Amino acid sequence: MRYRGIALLTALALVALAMQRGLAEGHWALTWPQGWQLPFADWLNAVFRFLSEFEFAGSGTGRDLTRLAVPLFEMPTDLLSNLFFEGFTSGFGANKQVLFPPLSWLALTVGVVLSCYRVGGVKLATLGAATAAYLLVFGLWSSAMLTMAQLAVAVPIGLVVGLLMGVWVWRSPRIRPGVLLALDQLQTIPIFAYLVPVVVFFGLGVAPAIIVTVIFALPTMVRTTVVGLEEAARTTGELAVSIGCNKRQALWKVVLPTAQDMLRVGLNQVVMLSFSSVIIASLVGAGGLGYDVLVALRRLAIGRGLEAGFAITLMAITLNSFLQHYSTGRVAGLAALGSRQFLALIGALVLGLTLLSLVLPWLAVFPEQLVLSTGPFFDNVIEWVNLNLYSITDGVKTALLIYLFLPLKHLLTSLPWLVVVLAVTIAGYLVGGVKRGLFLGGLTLLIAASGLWHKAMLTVYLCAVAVSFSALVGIPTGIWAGRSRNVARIVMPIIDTLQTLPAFVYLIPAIMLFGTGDFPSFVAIVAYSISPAIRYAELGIRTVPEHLREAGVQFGCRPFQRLWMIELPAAAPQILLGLNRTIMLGLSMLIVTALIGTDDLGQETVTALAKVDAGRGLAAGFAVAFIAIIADRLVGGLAERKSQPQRAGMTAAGAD
Amino acid sequence: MGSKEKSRFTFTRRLVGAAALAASMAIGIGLPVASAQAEVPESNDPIRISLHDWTGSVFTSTLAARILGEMGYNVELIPIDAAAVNSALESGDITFQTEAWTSVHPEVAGLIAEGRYTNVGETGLVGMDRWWYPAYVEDLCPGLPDYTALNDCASVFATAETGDKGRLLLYSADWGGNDDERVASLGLNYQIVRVGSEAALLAEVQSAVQRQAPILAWLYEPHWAPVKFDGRYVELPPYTEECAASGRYDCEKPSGPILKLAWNGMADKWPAAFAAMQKFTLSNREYGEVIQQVDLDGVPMDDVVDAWMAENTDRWSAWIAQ
Repeated sequence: MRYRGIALLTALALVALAMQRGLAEGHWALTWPQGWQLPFADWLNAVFRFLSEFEFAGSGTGRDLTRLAVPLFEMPTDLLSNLFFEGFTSGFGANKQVLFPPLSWLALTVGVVLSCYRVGGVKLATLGAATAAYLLVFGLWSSAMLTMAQLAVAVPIGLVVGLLMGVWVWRSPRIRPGVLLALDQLQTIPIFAYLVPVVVFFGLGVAPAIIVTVIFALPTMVRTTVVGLEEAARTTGELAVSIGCNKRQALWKVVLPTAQDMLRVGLNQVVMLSFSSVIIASLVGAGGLGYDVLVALRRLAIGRGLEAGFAITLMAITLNSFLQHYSTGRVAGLAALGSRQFLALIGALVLGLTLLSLVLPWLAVFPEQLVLSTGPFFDNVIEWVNLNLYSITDGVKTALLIYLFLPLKHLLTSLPWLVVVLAVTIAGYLVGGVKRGLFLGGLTLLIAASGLWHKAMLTVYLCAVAVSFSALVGIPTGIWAGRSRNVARIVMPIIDTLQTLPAFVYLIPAIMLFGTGDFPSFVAIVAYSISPAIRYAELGIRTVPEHLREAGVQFGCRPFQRLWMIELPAAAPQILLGLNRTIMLGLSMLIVTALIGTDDLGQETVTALAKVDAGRGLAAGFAVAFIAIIADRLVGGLAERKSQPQRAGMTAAGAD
Repeated sequence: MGSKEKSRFTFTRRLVGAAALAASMAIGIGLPVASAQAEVPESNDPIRISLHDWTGSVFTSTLAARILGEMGYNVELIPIDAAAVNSALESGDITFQTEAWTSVHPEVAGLIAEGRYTNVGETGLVGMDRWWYPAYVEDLCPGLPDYTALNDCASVFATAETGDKGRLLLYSADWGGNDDERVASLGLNYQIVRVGSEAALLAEVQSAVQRQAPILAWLYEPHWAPVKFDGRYVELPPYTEECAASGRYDCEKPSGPILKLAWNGMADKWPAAFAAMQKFTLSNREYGEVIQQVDLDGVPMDDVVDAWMAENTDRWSAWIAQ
């Protein structure tokens, strides 16, 4: 089987070479003829116009109907932002009057620190206090509160909807492939592609920002839930039934609690991904820290951009640790108080300090004398590196460009479409049978027919290089971290930072040192997509059942054999999920690489956005999603075939 | 800097203070602020003004919001990407945009002509974009700023990616400019490299200037970069209408007025606000000064807007007088 596949693909490569030599430039087998192009953009525009303007039996247009949902998102967010930093007011403009002041910064800080202390003890309280102090001292309080008000709505929606959808999908195996496929599309389609539809259907401001955030964070939660439940159901086996649970009890009392480690990874990812979409949300009216970063960077105020960027990271890390501790249900501090008494204490403190702020102005607005800025410090650091180390960074970049990036780019963009379609079909057939082969080949054919072939191949080239790098470095790192607590303690905060620090913050310095073009794009994709590769591999290795490890020791396995023959196969589902997430996140970074300057599908969605051409943007977006599906099904399928028998054997042994 | 972050979105809160200030000034010059509010605002629905990520836009949008606030309107500043604003103006999600740069947004004229949104008039600001190089490059390429010297210096501006061609660094394709045609018809041995965003382009320029390396890039005015970096514009044949009409574009780019745009329904729903915004104009000089103060001297935007309001009371009072 394997040799037949290799033979087929080699033959195909020779055919490609022969075609390039033998056929005239512009031959239909090399480049898709213009006359055959299918007007996907026009079709999508027609559907979109129909949905937004069609009158639904007297109840208004489709657009009016979706806008009815806007208050659902706006009201809680407005309430929170009034509470956090705007205050409650009446009247407008010059007639405005404050009815009730916003919560004092000190009140909120005290509330956060005490809650952290109760849930996670001194360590977490210190983290909470440090985050609050950081926001105050760098003058980011109001922006941070606005961001927090929106994420306080977006994160729970992402979690709850994600969990429920995950349970639903897990319970209905028949719809599972379809739903997971659709969800992957949601995450990989560059946000610019559906920004126009979102703005048309939901307007500007909080509602579209939250929707965009949830769309981005939800798929990971669903997928993680499904995999977690599958694993849990396998390990608990017939236990729930044998102790007399009905289906619902089995789910909520046995399977879900067993899956909690995996669910906590889902929780982490929802928080991290929600915070990482803060910048993009500010493109549709969200404001807050994301907007601060954009403004600072357009002024090349790198220090300011970093300050605002790290604020996003710190808040994400704090919220994540708080929720991780909270989800365990343990009480670490102030245990003498019941939860009602504790809430009453917090309430009293917050209200008291806020009322006090009416009298003491320094409680209402953080004293400006105490506000600091790193000022030009970081700009000077970058300048120093630029002046003294440029020859090295430029040398590295040029070498990589000449020996790796440019040849690969040339190879991929010059392949005849016919050969690529055939290659994908054969590869699909080899890893997943006739059906998968035809399906993936069909998707490739659609990309060719859309007229976006060249841009699509540029996308494949850049993502393939970056994602391969992420996987090759990330998975071993994750395995190492899974076997050593000390390594994990160093690696995990780093990848949390990489995932939430807005890419643009470190990209501007990267552009200064490496120039624009493919290299900083590569850096951006790797930095973002390496995180799940590490995280899921670490989880997989760490949660290998102890009895399997012991069995290995008893059989006399050496450590390396134990890793290779027992731990890796047992952790395969998680590692594969990590690989899937890495590919998806890599493709989702196209939106950022478009801002650096590329000529791929991401850029196409940006251009379409400027021209208010929803169809054109969506067509490019779907092309990205198709690439994601093809990559996932090929790589995932290959790995599945390799690990399936061993894993099944292992877990069967484990369950017995 | 800190207070700027705090107040960008909470400027309405500060209006209480600003209103007190304005009221005291109004009494001083005998302006009937209170009586004007009898019929205005016509509606308490929010007038949504777009806020973009360049400093000038933060200034003009904040200023417009402040002025409409003086009239008693409910104003919201909505941060939004400049590319996404077109569809939002059409649907009414954005009521008013203070700055539409026709020099770099060629689609605006077409969308106005199609009646997708209303042209409220020129801001009095004029956008100009050119090919720029740092002054020290003239040592390496003595023929500059005349464009005919460019071909001799192609190797000076060349990079690993462009080979023996010079590199011309431009904004992304949706900023227009017809530079592909220009480079071809002027017979320049240069390869155009496009960046995806202004921040990326400025990062390249700053990096080159720090290292005193040659660079040829698109900059525009009014902007802080030509103020901060010592440099000159390449001199191309002067702009004529026939050079653009011929499709050859072998001349300078035309300067483009910066327009104010509004949702088509604004004039009916808030006539007084619309009238005030029609009169709202600034000059390149004062706009340039503001950018310099904020971006280069680090003055908080709020202080700059406060100062402008205090110094120009006569002007904005006339705009809002009915």
